Amino acid sequence: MSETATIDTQATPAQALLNWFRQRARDLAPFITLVALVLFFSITTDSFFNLINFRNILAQISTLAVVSTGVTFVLLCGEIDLSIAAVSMMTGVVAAVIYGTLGLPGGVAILLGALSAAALGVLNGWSATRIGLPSFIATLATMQIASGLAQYITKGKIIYTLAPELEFLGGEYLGTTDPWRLPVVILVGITALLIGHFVLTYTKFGRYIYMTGSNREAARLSGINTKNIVAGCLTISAFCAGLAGMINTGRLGSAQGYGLDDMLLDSISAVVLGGTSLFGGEGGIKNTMIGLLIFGVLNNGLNQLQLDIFVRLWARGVILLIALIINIYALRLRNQAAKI
Amino acid sequence: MALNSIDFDVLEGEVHGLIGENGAGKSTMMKLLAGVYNDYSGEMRLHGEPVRFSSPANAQSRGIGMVYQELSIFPHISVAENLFGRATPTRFGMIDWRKMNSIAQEHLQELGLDIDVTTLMGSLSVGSQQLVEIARVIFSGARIIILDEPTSALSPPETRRLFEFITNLKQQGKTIIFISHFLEDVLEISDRITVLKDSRKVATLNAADASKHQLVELMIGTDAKLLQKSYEEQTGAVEQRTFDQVRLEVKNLSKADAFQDISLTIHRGEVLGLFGFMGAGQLQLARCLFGAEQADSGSIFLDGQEYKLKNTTKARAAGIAYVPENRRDSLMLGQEIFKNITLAHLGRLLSGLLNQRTELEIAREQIGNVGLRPPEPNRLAGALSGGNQQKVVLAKWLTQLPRLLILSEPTRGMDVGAKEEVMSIVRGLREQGVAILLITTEPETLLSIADRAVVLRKGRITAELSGADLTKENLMRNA
Repeated sequence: MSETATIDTQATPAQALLNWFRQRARDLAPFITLVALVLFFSITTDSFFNLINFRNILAQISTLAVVSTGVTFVLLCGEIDLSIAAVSMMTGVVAAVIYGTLGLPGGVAILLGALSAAALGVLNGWSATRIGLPSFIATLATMQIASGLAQYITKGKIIYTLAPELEFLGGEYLGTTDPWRLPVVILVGITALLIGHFVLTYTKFGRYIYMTGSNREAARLSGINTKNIVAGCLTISAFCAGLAGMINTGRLGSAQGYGLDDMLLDSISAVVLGGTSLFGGEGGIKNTMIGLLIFGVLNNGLNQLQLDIFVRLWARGVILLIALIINIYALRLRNQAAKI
Repeated sequence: MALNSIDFDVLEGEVHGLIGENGAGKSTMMKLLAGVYNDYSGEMRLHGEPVRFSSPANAQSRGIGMVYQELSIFPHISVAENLFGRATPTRFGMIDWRKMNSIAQEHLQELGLDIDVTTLMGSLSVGSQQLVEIARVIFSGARIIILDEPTSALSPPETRRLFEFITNLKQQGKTIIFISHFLEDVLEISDRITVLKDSRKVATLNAADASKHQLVELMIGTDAKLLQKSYEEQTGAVEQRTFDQVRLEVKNLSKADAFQDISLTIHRGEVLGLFGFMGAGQLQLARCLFGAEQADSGSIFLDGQEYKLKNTTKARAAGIAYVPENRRDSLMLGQEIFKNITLAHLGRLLSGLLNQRTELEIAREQIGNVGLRPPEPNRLAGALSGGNQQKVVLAKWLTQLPRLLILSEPTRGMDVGAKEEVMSIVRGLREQGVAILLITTEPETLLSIADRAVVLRKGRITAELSGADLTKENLMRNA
């Protein structure tokens, strides 16, 4: 979204202010939601509002942040990637096996893991653009492939030998004294988000992504190779998922062939909660950051409330629905504002 | 005023042709008859009884049925289901397939149509679909059938078939109103023909006594020759501009179900008009010239070099620019104007990273060139009027001077002022050596700027006109 304001010189000051809010509704509404949630949990529990807990929230959403960066790219260009959780899992396993069983250095294991993830992303891209499968279907198939491969490689066992680099990135801390020990994983998450933001906002590739998502046919008729853009986004998405999967193994201390399924809906929720449109062309990494925070705060807060676990699950679903509805209304407000 | 004091009558059992230029009032007239409009002054009588239809459904219930140029069929269900529509016969609340199919088949047989009612509508040819649509309208009780441009998508044998069908219907006492641009078809099938011009009725004559030449003259008025003179005086356009270098050469370009054997040339700095009624294949031709669709055979040369335009990116790189007829396909309405303007040539305009300040500068320059109002690059493109949106589309392509500019219906839906502004931008471009292909269904637009014209009819070039031959009459006669 553009930084510059559009000043309507004919409107009264009150109208102009209202208009200013309307135009930013897409970005403001999630932010307000976040503040509201923080306030709510701070008031209703004792354990929420403290530095260590905030640090924990950030750590909890860090690997999700890496995946969500990739998801942001895909949603912005108007597509979807259902294979991310499976690719994450598979990549974690692949890296662990290359390091542990094949005995190759950690750096090599990570590289090969990332490549395997990217390869699946290329497969997604190819099916979606050259074959013409809807991305929903193409990535659904890849999800099965990745999931199957992960289980095939592990044969149900859990792998504990992980590349030390991953253990560092996922599990270590910088500094020695609490609360000033910073989990490295937070830095990883922030780095991914920043790189994503840079590409989307300052490169031509990023601009083409927004335009492809905004109006695919118009982009194509302006000479943009929309097939390549879509394929590129799907590759990035898989790559990010792979990185996240490997870092996650470092965080958990193990790699296994199942159990990451939640990550798919969690990351899509986080991105959409932040205001990025499911239809493409609107949103970005800043929105994803807010969305991740909302997601993290929500999870953490509900935990602190010590609600029944089953209540937590559906409560989360209800809040997600409410946030999405607010999202749609924010979009309509913005469109109305544009016409004034 | 869309229609001005028109007296019109149709005899039972006749085929009555209705012709006139774009904007003459045919479409309004037809919608009035079909009950789409009911806010008119004057009287309409059906079988001697005064009527005023409140809605299309009302008109249908009184026996008037309409078949539009774009058929309104459901391709994924069977012919029988299309025929019955919502009135499917049921047994105990479930669809009675057997009854439906047998009644439908019987109905088609009575009309002399040999089509299996269980086939999927979408698998029929366009010609057959149209016949089924007419049958449907009759099935719903229509005794007066209005056909809007029925032959524009039909091949000659399909047109034959339609005419046999219509003759059949006549014998069964049905009445047909046949609206069309194709004068030979109108002459062949009609008993009488009514000519509309500028919202008025010019004449009603017997088809047997009329000639095509006569009809064209009636449609455009015998002062067409005077109009032609005034064009010449006004714009000096028939100053014979001379051209040296061939910029675009198209050889035997063909695409199934769109156009056949198209060959044309455009010189550097020349405006070639491409005239044809809607559906003649011009839109697909434009897209093939921009790599947005692929032709089946033939070749395209720019400045002597052959180009295989496999996608739009390659076409853009070759220096081809394309302004589609549908603004929705050429602008991101939800994005700012400056982003739309820099889009096409973003790679060349900015080396390295995006820089909003540079983009705004470029946008402002273009906004000045095309005279965009209001000149605010940060506004969303969707907030602009139609004419100004079109200027943004032009601006987008002019950030790098193209070799070939393809304009598809560039002035559609614009008021006179906006049209003139767009045309003056185009004039400026030809001075700079851009070769321009102007595709339009408006003869006036073409005549005001084209150096030469090519007429397209049902996918083929029927005439090439220049100099003194480039007249509205000749354009319309060959389309």
